[in-house]
Amino acid sequence: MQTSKFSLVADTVIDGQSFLARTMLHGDSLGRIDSEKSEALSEDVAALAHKLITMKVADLSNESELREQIQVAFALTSLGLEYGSKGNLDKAVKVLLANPIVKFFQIGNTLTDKLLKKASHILEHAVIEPDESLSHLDIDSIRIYNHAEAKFLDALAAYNSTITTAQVTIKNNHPPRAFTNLSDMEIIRQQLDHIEARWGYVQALPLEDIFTIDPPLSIAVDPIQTLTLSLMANLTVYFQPDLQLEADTLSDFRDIIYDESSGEIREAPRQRLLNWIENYLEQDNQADDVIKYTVAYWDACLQEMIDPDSNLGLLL
Amino acid sequence: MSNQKLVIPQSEAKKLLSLPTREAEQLFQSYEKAEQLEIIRATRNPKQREELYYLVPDCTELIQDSPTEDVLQVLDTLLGTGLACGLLPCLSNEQFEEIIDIAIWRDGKLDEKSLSLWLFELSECERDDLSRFLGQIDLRILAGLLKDRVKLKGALGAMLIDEGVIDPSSPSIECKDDQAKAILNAIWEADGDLFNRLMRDIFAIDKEAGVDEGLVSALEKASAERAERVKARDSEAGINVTESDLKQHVDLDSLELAEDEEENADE
Repeated sequence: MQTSKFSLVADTVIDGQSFLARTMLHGDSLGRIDSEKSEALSEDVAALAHKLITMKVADLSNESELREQIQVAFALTSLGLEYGSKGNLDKAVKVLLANPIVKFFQIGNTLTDKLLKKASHILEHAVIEPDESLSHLDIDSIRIYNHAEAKFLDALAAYNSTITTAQVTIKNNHPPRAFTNLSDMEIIRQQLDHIEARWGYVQALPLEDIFTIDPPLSIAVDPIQTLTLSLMANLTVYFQPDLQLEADTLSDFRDIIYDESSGEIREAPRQRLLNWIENYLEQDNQADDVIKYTVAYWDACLQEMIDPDSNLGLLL
Repeated sequence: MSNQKLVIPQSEAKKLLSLPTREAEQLFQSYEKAEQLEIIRATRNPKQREELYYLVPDCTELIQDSPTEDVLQVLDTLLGTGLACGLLPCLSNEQFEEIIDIAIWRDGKLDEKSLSLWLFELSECERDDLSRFLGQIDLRILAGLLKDRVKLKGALGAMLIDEGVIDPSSPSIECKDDQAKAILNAIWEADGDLFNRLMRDIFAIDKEAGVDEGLVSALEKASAERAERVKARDSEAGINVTESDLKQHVDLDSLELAEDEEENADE
């Protein structure tokens, strides 16, 4: 009988694009990491992955769970090494040779833990819940994030990302891929900040009648974008920040805001709307980053209107 | 015969799994044990690995000489079906303890769902085997699992336990679910003395601390002992990373890493 540190991680290959793999290659080119040392380092990561599997996976016959933990072991170690060396390959070779592999895993784990907790918090709490007095009506809560963003938040729990750049709103998902570089982490951090800022913006709105909107926002593909469009249309047409959007209001709004001949948003009504939301949030004492994001978000929602592929384009 | 053969484990496994059972048995049994183990080990699909074990009349030795995690992987494919009892008796006591030390703990905490699943699977084993395996599971863990699922009714219950004359069918014992009842029955049938000690632990008979307090402290001790066993086994296998290492965070603001300088930097 023996405990094998390899059996559960058999045939695993280090992702060649990861900082860890590039460091080992660089160490080889410098003559600092020979094949024996490289083998020993790989074994150390394999042992770490093995340990992680036996610690986290309830069903060892579930191959996808094994792969996930192997990926986590490699990704966090690589991230920790990149952070610990400030992304400098020469320094990375030196620290890799002088510290136990687990140290880099711990750094990577510390770095990602905060982000993952934030993602999980947003996923669970960034929703508008109906008042208790409406509990008898079986009303669904309204999510601050759209479907693509829900997938992004969900993927993070498995140390995957679905985006390549931070966006005001995530529109399309890429297939989930492991985040192994600090630049990925920075993109994820920015995206989480964006969604969190949107949460702050929505909380500052007058939401008393939000659950009386017809059709309910909870069934919209992107509830907050729909809500924002309603606000913008009512503000432009009636100078009132109403949340209920009627078809004729939408049509009038379109006529005012959209210049058919140039195919662009008219500057004056656009600027009025952006000024209105900026002033509104300032008066509500919202933080600068929330205000800055929300102005960009409103602008993005307006631009969406002339995007033929967008949901708003279809509405209009 | 097998001494002269050059066996490539992966391709040999593929061949064996494609042959009719009788031919596969003959071929597999023609290999020496070390070769058989190599072939099994090279087969990463646990269901296929299970098939290979069945190619010998008694796979006890092969199971006991296989890496523990590999055996656990095969057993995991069978858990909850009641079919694992075909392979469980092949495990040595030491191997079983090692498997349980992995299988019923997640992140260093007792995974009650897994423990329940394992106890259900064990309850399908022959009573002798069950008795042998129960002896390897820390009684404090069993008590921790059952404490909220088994209740003592009436004033006589504690006295009956104290006298050692209680059994699972006693009206003084109330189980909250069928699985808890099945587990108690299995323990009783396998080992009456163990059952009585378990009852004493669950209801803290003769203990100074209260039931919950006593069980929490007992579970903490069981957890610490398990961590030590795992660490010792890993160390023996050359794995120096512990579960607590993997959970440890670092202070990123005061991070200091050693740097390896080139051996001939000054030359």
